[in-house]
Amino acid sequence: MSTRDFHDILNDCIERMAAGQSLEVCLRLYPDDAERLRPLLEAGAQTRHLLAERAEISADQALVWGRIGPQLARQRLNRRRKPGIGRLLLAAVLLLGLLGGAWLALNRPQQQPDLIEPLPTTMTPTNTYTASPSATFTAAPTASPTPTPVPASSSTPFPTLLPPTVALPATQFDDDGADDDSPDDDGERNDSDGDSEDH
Amino acid sequence: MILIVLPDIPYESDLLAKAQFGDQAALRAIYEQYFPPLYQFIRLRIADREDARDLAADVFIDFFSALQRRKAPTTSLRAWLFRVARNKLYDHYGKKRQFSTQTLEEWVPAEHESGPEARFMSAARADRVRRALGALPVDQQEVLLLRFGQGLNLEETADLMDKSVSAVKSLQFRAVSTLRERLDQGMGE
Repeated sequence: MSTRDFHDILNDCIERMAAGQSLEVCLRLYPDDAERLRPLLEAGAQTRHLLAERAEISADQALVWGRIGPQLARQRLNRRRKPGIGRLLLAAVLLLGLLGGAWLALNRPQQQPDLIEPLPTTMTPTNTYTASPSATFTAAPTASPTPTPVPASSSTPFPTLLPPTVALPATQFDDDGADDDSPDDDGERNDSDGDSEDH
Repeated sequence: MILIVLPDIPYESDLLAKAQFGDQAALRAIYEQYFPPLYQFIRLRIADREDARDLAADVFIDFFSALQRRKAPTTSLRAWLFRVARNKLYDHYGKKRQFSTQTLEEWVPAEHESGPEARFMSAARADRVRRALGALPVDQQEVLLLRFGQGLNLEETADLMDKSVSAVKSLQFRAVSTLRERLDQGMGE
């Protein structure tokens, strides 16, 4: 008999013994190899004498379950509560939309009166800015008309108050508009008046 | 004689399917069924009982976590659990990936017989087996414990040990042959 065949026979007997058959039953199935098989199977079966005591296993089984059981229950609870990624994304989009809408709603009423109201007053006398109210938005980034009044304002009584920055357009519009509205103007307003008069 | 009753595979598949849907009773049944053999497997390698408990707990935590992530085994749960246990043991012993033979020296054998004489005989026999097994190479120890001690089948053992089926057949032959020799030598001493 080849080695491979004997390996197969030995394996078959191990399988049978694991399934609960006795050593004698296995040996009867392979009488020609019984003499060789017996010591090997007996030796292997002796490793079972090393198994732990049932009492120890039971005690530790209960201890471990006491530790992982609640953890498992918590995990299951989390899984139930955890929404899907799709739901989270949808919620995030909705939240962003709401926040954006709220921001627009809060900012719009504050800007419009400041920017739109002055225009009719400034535009009419000066003819410099003939744009519709929408021009109030374009004027700020371009800022090209504003530098011209700024240097001119250096001759005013308050030159140092005017920073050479782009913050001027807003003040310019305000000032132009405030020319008629508020009586306490500063030098810039006077300049703008002067400019408008030049035109 | 000790008989190890293993769960049949269709029942195992059924339990696994239920467990994947979060069935608490199925999870508990899996735990009840597989804790004893896994614990035995670990305990034979780890002398400290508390460490063995921790490792066994880790195996089941990994299993429950895999279920949650839908990465649980779909076929052989038993082999999957033993593989996790084996990896945990390797992690426990560090990079050398070598089980401690001292563990077997410290092992307290099972006492299946009642009465002082029978217990003495049982303890002496277990001691002899323990010494003989401890003298084997690690892979031979492992194949014997898995095949005879835990009753894993050939395919499961091969899968767990990252070996081919034919390699496991050869290994188990060498293992029982060497164990036989060691036991005979022990008898002579």
